[in-house]
Amino acid sequence: MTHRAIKEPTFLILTVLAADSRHGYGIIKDVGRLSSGRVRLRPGTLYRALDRLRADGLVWDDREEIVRSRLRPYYGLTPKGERRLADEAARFCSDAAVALVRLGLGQGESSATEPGGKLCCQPGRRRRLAQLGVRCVSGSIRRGYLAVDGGARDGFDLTAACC
Amino acid sequence: MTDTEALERAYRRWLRYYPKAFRAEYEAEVLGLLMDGARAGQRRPAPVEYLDLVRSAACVRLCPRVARSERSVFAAIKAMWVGTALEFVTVITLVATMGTVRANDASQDPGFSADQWHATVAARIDPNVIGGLVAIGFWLCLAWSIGRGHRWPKVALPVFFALNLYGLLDGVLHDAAATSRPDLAVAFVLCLVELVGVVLVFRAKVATSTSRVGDYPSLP
Repeated sequence: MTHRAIKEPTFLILTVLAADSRHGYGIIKDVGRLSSGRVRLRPGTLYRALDRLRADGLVWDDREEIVRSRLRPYYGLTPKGERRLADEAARFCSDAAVALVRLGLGQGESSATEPGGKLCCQPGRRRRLAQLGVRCVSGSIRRGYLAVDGGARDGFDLTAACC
Repeated sequence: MTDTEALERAYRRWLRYYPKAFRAEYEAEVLGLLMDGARAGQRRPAPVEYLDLVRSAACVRLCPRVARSERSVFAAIKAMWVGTALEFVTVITLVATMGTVRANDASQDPGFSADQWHATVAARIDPNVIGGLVAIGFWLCLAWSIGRGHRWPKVALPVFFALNLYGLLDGVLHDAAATSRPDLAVAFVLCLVELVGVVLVFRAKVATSTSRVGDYPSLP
């Protein structure tokens, strides 16, 4: 079943919870860190999103802890939430790879979109990437994610979202 | 009153805009987060915090509450919005064409007076405009209730459809001379939209999810 694309703050909340269950404050901090300060969740927005995610069956109450005499619930991803996050991440990857190929920064659409494909950063393309302010990191091939040649030794990085 | 107490009181006042069920579930957590993020000496919420709380509260109150996988529900909500738009266009058209109607009536009757015009408005135009506005409110109410998983639209929508269908058939069979073609066309389309809404509402399997600690939410 195809789903409507989820918004970036929701995607980041699911990403944070994928690693481990978190309480509200932890989610806000981790989302800020993952987005390099770009996405700043406020409590009202966070809990509205969590309420929505619980209604969709993507997030559940994992446990509760008493902290400073206050009950603090921890939220975790359900298996459905994990599948949804993986699908969304693969979709972002695929879209980003197509965009990079069309910008002349990728190897070819067939290799960019098939699982196990490679996006090879040629030196000229790496310079072009640097001009665009894009960073390269090494990644792993999984469900449409792509491996990237190059990396720290060349001094260029590719956006983690597509690699 | 200390700064902390004043700030907490202000936050609690704004948190009251959230629905009761939401507050029962999350108020303590939201308040705790807001207080933890407060600056020293802060006595009132910052404007961006006001905005966040008001916007979130509006969304929690108005946005659909059922799981997004319930496609029939969301399709039914869209059908209700189509009905709302049609009624809105009808009301706007009625109001916008009042001048034309008056000119037509005046051209057919040279002795057409202001009192006759007022009587025409009271007998023909006002009831339709008021009925249209009530219908808009009803469509919006249906859209909201379907999105919240309420059961009463399953009763109200078929009744609404039956009444409008009766009106349409009556206009076609008994009053065809007096009923204009555009009116019949709009009535027909509205009946169609209502029928689609009825089918979708009855197809929807609405499950409201409630999760307790350690349990998965009830999945559709």
